[in-house]
Amino acid sequence: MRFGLSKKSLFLLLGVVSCVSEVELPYPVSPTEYVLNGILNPDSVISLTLHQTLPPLASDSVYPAVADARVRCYENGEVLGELTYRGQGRYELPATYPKPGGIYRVEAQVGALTLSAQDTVPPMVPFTLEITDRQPQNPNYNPNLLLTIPPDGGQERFVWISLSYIRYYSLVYGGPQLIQTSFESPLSASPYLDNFNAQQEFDRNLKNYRPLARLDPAFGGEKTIPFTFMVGITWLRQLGERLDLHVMQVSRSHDRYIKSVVVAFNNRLVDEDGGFHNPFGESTNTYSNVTNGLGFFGAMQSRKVVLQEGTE
Amino acid sequence: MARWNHVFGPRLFKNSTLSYTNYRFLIEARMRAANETYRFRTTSGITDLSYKSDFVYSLGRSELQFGTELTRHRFAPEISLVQGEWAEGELNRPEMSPPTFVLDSRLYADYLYRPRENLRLQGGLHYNLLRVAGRTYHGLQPRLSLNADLWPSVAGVRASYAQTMQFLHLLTNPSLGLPTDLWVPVTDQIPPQRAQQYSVGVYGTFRKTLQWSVDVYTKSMRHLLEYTEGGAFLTSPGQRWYDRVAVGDGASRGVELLLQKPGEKFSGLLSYTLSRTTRVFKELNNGQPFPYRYDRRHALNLSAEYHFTRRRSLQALFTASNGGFVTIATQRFAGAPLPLFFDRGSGWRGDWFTGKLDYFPQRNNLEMPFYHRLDLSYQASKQKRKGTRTWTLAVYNVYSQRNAFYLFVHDNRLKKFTLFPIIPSVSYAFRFE
Repeated sequence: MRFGLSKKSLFLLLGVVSCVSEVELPYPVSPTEYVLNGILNPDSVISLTLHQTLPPLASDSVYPAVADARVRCYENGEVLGELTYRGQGRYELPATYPKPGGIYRVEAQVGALTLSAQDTVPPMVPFTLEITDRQPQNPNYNPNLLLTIPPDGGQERFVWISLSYIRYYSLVYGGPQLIQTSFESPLSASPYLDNFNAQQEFDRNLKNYRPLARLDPAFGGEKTIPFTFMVGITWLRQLGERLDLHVMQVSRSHDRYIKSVVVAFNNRLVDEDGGFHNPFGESTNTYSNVTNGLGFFGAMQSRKVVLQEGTE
Repeated sequence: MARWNHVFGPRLFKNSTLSYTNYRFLIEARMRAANETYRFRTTSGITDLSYKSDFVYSLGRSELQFGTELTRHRFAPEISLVQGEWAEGELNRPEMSPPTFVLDSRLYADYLYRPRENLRLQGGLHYNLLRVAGRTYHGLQPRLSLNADLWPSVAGVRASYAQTMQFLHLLTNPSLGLPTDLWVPVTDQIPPQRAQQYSVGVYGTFRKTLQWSVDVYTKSMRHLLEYTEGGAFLTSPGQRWYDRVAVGDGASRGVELLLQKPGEKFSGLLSYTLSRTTRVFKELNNGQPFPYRYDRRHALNLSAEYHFTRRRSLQALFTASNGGFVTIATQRFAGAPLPLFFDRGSGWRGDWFTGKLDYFPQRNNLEMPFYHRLDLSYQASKQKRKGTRTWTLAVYNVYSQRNAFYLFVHDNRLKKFTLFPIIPSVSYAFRFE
């Protein structure tokens, strides 16, 4: 049968068929927004930051600071004071610390626009911690940490736990020592932890809660949460090295914010270097309690427990 | 499939069918990003065992169709996304969603009445009963239609109304990333979709050869599904597809124009639809309406067929439409840091997670690039001793238009990924006679 198609044309066609292509498109333009951020903690003075947004593909890493805003803070409905600008978008109320149970509201006037947000400082959750002996089934034979939280007495309680460590390391054997600080993800099989950010650990009956674990508020009674971690506790022997546990109680809106940030971080399509991160990710906004702007203003209390401190 | 037809008399005819279908669909992808490897898997298994009986009773100027259908559906949809090179076993963990069984029974009766040659009235009532995981859903689905040739062979009007119930939902992801559509069934928590549609139109024939019609429709839908924000997130242990969805409503309105030229030598069809389809979900987009993923404002289809001889023909199809909608960030900002502590006296370092947060002001806020392509095919048949053989030469996307399969951001640039440029094909068919 004659097709009327030369061999040359056929090879050309086959070559074109095997192509896939990437074509650049213009990115849609939209106006900038104002961003108000601040975290209230009784161990720090009341402060917040004000910046503007950037286009998503901008190469800038520094967000434009808002230096000319008038910012006021209210405590339980009464004016507490006007915040002073400290540079780089930061506003502070000197020598004024938020109190547990206090309701704090901030209003930032930027031109004709007023951004506002409000939150309540929660009490600190009581807890006890027991460190067991080293366990052979744990990573690096690390001990188990048994965190016991008493019943909440019907009060809503949002508790998060995180770990951090400082460690020296050398790039080459015998080379100069460099210091590394990082967070450490809790590893646990406890049913009392929220699995929203859990990933099953390979070959272990443990889940990795990166970067921090959330206690499921549905369980109101007394609970003991066993967990461990990856970095070897016996590695941290030198003076200056340490491993810390942080237990935090946050407000309801702060809890919602943290959860939304973790979900958004894991769903981002692009990583910090502009490359592919999660090609199957979902578009996810982070929670905001700021009126007329973006960002988050929330409250928390925290307590640190030193798990290991180097002495050599 | 087994079929049994029976004629009871000059007016009553019955058709019974027993069928079994087994459908399996699997996509598994492995994507290596800069710092991580992702393994994605979506599966859809639908097994149906069905019996139905249809009766037709002729009454002169009218006809009554009635019957029943009973189907046992087995659904096993799942969508999983795991992180890490070693995560192969995670995709096949036995605690993924167990299959869903739906027992679907239906009774229906449709009555067609032609009081005059140029008037046709049709009314029907369908009743569905669904049973899934101890929960029962049921509903009546009335339908009415009217066709009237006001000016016989020249022009007429038509109108219709229908209520429908559907036990299959389509889940679509709104992000820029790879499309991961999934068909899922009703469950004891997720009810069937319900819709009401009204349409009215005019139609006619021009110069006895050109058929035309213009129809306007409006459709309202309830119990639609969409992923919750972050819903297609990395698979969490114990989380199943129905833990990640929200239920809401939708609406669609449009006008359809159709021009058709039948003929032995040359035939053609031109259709154009202008429509708008939206969704509104309490948990999504702050409860505000947003465009549906596949809302295609303009859709044009043009097809033509020319017969050189009785056995040789050329077909052409041109299709063009808006590309649909996806969600894209319009600004980025730094959020309040997470409570992650790096105790070097420097305070918090939780800003690593919040230094570049995307702001999506609205769901499905970006329209994909316009889609268009031309397909051509040439068919040649020849009578052989034992039957007819047919060669078909076809070219899909003749001018190799780079239509967007999906959008993505890379090297700080927005790009579209094209999957199917020009694709030629050859096929051979033989029909034994």
